[in-house]
Amino acid sequence: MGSAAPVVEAEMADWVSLGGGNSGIVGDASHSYGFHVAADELPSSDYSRTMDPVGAFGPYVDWDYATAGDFSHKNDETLRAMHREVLHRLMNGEMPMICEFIGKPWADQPVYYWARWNGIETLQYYTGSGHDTWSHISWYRSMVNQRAYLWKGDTLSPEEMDQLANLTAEKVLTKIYRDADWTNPNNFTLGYMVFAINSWLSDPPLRDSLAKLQADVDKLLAGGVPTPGGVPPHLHNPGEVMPA
Amino acid sequence: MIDEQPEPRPGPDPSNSTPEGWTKDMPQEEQDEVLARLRAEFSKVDEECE
Repeated sequence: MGSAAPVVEAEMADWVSLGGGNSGIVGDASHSYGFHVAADELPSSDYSRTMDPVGAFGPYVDWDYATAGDFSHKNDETLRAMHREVLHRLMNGEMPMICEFIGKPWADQPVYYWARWNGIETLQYYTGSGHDTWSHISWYRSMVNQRAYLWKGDTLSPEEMDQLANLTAEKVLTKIYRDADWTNPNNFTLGYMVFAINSWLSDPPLRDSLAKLQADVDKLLAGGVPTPGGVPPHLHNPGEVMPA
Repeated sequence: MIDEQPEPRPGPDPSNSTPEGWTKDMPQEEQDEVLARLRAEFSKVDEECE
């Protein structure tokens, strides 16, 4: 038997803390297909594998994970309204990691089936059993390391903000300066561009900051950052007129 | 870990192992109606947030 994907467990914990019910993540013996079952316990023809954007053979976050949760609203109208809001967000193109929703968003309406692969504004009637007091919500197996924040919005904790900052910094460090990225229709030299910016930002605090930035850039350039055509020699000090 | 025990629920019918086996198309008019109801309830909230 597979294990519950931690992201789905976290979403379930949010839901339970709001008063909702946990109707399960990992399927019991009666579940022989679909997202409540681990990928490595299913044939490659299972729809929960074939419908994944990366295909039936992964890579998946973890082949042992069950990636769907059954979130019970227990016929409570306040909780059910939150399920309606999730369906609205899905049909509005949000939460790309969520691929499937089966639920009854209104007490007097049928159970609906929504799947991302049908088109985000497409709904069908669900003709199976249950799903009247709970909604089944599936994550793509390849994206089940991504929180959807179904119930509590996407406010980040300080730890999550640090994690995001570190990931962003890592991404930035992988970027290399390319000439095509430099919007320079008049073919100004790099030295002139720095001179012009320096002149515009002539207030001392900004000037000093820029001088420090330039010093840092110089250090980086000395370390061998690739720059097409080389860099013009530094011929002026901040605030001074650049020699011809 | 989640303390609350899962509530019992019926398992799926193994004879219908794809969505085609447990879904039926909805008339476009009804789909539009559902979407309109959702937007009427929640799009107002979105606009207030902007």
